[in-house]
Parts: sequence; C-alpha cells; structure tokens
Amino acid sequence: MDAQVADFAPLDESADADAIIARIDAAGIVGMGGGRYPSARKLREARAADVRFAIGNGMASEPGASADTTLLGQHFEAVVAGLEIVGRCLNGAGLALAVPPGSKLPAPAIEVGVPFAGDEQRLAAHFATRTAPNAGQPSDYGVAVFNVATLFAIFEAVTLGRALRRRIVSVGETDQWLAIGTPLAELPIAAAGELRVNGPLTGRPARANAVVEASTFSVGPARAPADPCIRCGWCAPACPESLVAEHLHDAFEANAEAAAVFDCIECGACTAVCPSGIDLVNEFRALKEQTRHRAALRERADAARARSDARSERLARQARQRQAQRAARLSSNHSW
Amino acid sequence: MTAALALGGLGLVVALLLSIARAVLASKERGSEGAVVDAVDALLPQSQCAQCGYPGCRPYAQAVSAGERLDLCRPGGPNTVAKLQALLGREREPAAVAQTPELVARIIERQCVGCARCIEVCPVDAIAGAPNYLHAVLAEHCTGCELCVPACPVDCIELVAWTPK
Repeated sequence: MDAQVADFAPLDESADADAIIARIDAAGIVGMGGGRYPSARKLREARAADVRFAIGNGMASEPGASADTTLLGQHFEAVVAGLEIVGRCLNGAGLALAVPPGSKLPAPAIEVGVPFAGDEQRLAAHFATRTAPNAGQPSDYGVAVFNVATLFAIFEAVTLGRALRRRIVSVGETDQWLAIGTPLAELPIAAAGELRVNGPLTGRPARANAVVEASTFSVGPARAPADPCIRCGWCAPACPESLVAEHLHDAFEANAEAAAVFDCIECGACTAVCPSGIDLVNEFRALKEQTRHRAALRERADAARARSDARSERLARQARQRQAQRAARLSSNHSW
Repeated sequence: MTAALALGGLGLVVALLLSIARAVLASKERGSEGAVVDAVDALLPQSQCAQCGYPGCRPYAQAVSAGERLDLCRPGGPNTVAKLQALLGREREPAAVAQTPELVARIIERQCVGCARCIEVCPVDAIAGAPNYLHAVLAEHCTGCELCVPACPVDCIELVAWTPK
C-alpha cells in the first residue's frame, strides 16, 4: 500500500487552515465511520461554530467491525498526526482519541466505557457531559468528531499528498485494505450469500451492485430473518434517548407516522438487545423517511386547499361583477 | 277541573321543552355534519383533480360523509383510505386503490403556443403566463392533478415526479 504515488505536493507545518481544508476537500475525504459527510465541510462548519474540541472516534462499537482497531494498531502515529492536523484547523482545539476499554494505547487515547459510544452524537455528549436537543449535532456541544480512518486519510492527504483511494475494511473475520470502488460481489465472503454493510446493528443490507465506498468500514453476512416482537420490553431501558423502541416498531408495522422517531440517534442499542433479532434501526430510518414524507404531503395539501379556496372565491366575485355590470348596462340602455 | 288544568299545563310545558330540545339538537346535528366534512376534507390530498367523479376535494368530502365509497381518491392512495376508514369507523368496507406516485406538471417550453387554456383549468392557480406568452408551471404550487393535460391543444404538458423541498 505504500507504493501509492502522491497526487498532490505534501503540505508542511507552515500551511494554514484554509490550505489544509482545501487539500482535504481535493483529496475527496468524507466521514469514513459510515456518515459520509464531507470532512472539509465539517471542518469549515466547526470553524464557523468556533468548536474548540476535536475527538478521534476509534470506538468500533459495531460487533465484528474491527477495522478501526486494526488501523490504530498499524498506524497509531499517523492517526494522531491526522488528529493534530484537525486541531490546527480548529485554532488549536483540545484533542482526544476515544478508544474502547482495554485498548492500552498511549495518549491522547482515552478509554471510553460507555456502551455503543461509537455513535457520533453519543460520543460527543459523553465528552461534553450534557445532552443535546432533538437530533442535535456534535457541534451543538462545541465538539467535532472524526472517525480514525478519516483522520488517517487526512494525514495521508496533507502530509503525504495522497488522495483517498483505499481504506481498511472488516471483511468477515479479517481486516483488509481495499480499493474504494471494489465490487462487494468480488469479495470471497459474497459467495456465502446476502451481505450487510457497516455492521449488524446500525448497518444496512448491501444493495445490488454495491461497492466498497469511502464510508464502508465493514462487510459481513446479512442478518437472520427476524421473529415477531414478543413484547419483552428490553429495548426500552436500552435506549439512551429514553424511547420505547417497541412502540416505534409498532408504528413501522402499521405503516403509520411517529414524531418521536426523530429523537432516535440510530445507535443500535435496541437492536443489540432484541431477542427476536428485529432490524430496528433500519425500521426507524424508514419510519423517519415516511413521517417526513407524510408531513410534506400534508403541507402540500394545506397550501393547495388555500389556493383552491382563493380561486373559487375569485371566480365567484368575478361572476358577481359581470352580473352587476350586465344589470347596469341593461338598465341604462333602455333609451333605444 | 283543577286536575285537567294541571295535566294540560304540564303537557304544554313538556311539549315546549321537547320542541326547544329538538331545535337545539337539530342545529347541533347540522354543525357536526360540517365538522365531519371538515375532518374528511383535512385527510384528502387537495389535488382538486376530480378523478373521484366529484368536482373537487370538498365536494367528495361531503359525498363521503353522506355515505359515498371511501376508495375513489386516486392521488390519496391506500394511506388516505386507511385514515378515512379509521376516522369514520368504516374499516370493514372493501377498498381497492393503488398507490400512485406524487406528480407535478411541467410545460415543455419548445412546444407551448401560449394559448392560456391550461391557466383557466388549473384549480390552484399554479400556471403563470398570459395569452401569446410562454407559460410556466409553478412547481411549488402544482398538485399534479393532470387537469391541464387534456386542456392543452398541443400536448406540451408532461408530469414528473414530485419531491418534497
């Protein structure tokens, strides 16, 4: 992998934040922990919001997704260098590298014992020791969170002048460096059947003709078919947002709407405890989409009703005016 | 004599009370009928497309509250039928309506001759233009009712998928 040629001239210590962010943009770096949010945009927004704390996210909280842990083992210094580059962009922000308990990595690595803290919002809330409003972003806490693979890509782009062309991916039991764009069907694991991307809890079923994307950190077998909900209620205490996943699951099954689903941060804690193996996170994603769509349709209908009523009123008024003019003409023209 | 007067008076008073009660209840009934129409109308998609056979959503809402079938609204689809059934307690009625995609109209500008006929038929004033000038559909106001399509003499109106803004 070190044979890759440089795409850009490396930037040195004297490069300012704008040059670094422009380079990150040009290298095509996006959130590689699954979010796929353009890193340059995230950095610009964090600068605008005067974010003063940056966290590297090495929590790897999806079962079986060990790519981030392996990356930290192989290239710890490069990841830390990437985090320091982010710190330079954010006016010397405070830096921390969140890793799971038992990682035994040197500073700035900090072991975080919160379950499912690989979720960006949860991790930011943990470091800020407070909770954000509905669907809050880490910048609401004054924190910016970057996945460790993103930080490694930032290091390579800025210090070595390399565009983002490959990434480390957990494939089944192993972690491999794969070119972005590799068809998942070409991986040996594809022979075993349907695949799932980015983990059993918060991941998604692999689409037809799916490829390794910048945000693909794990490829594994599809989930087993789910059993019906048995009303055990385990999902309720598992939810960090105090939602009752069972009720949201009912709303999904009934093809209904649920405003509360927008409080779901899609961390996968409910999916992890569900004894029926229901793919709750993906149900809630669909429920969010459906709820948004229905609300948009209602808004459209209300606007159309108002315009239709206004038109009917106008047509009636015009008819009355014509009638009055006609009557006036008839009464004034009686001379002939 | 006293007994006849007392009973007759009582009868008169009761008759008066009953007639007042009847008038009050009847007016309440009329009021609640309007409320049912409002509730039904609120669930309809307001495309004013007349595909149900009524001249608009409000007339169909009135017909529904008077017992018309619930599954005549094509743009509403199964979701609207389900909501109407739940609202009116008519879940047992058979209903067959397919999900249709949400649409908006678009004028193919190279073909438009500026005849202004589509402007007249649009139920929500969502087409801008004047005679002998190019017309344009205001996509944010268009309900995709398709009423402008047959009105166009040069067939220059197409329907494309609607996306929420």
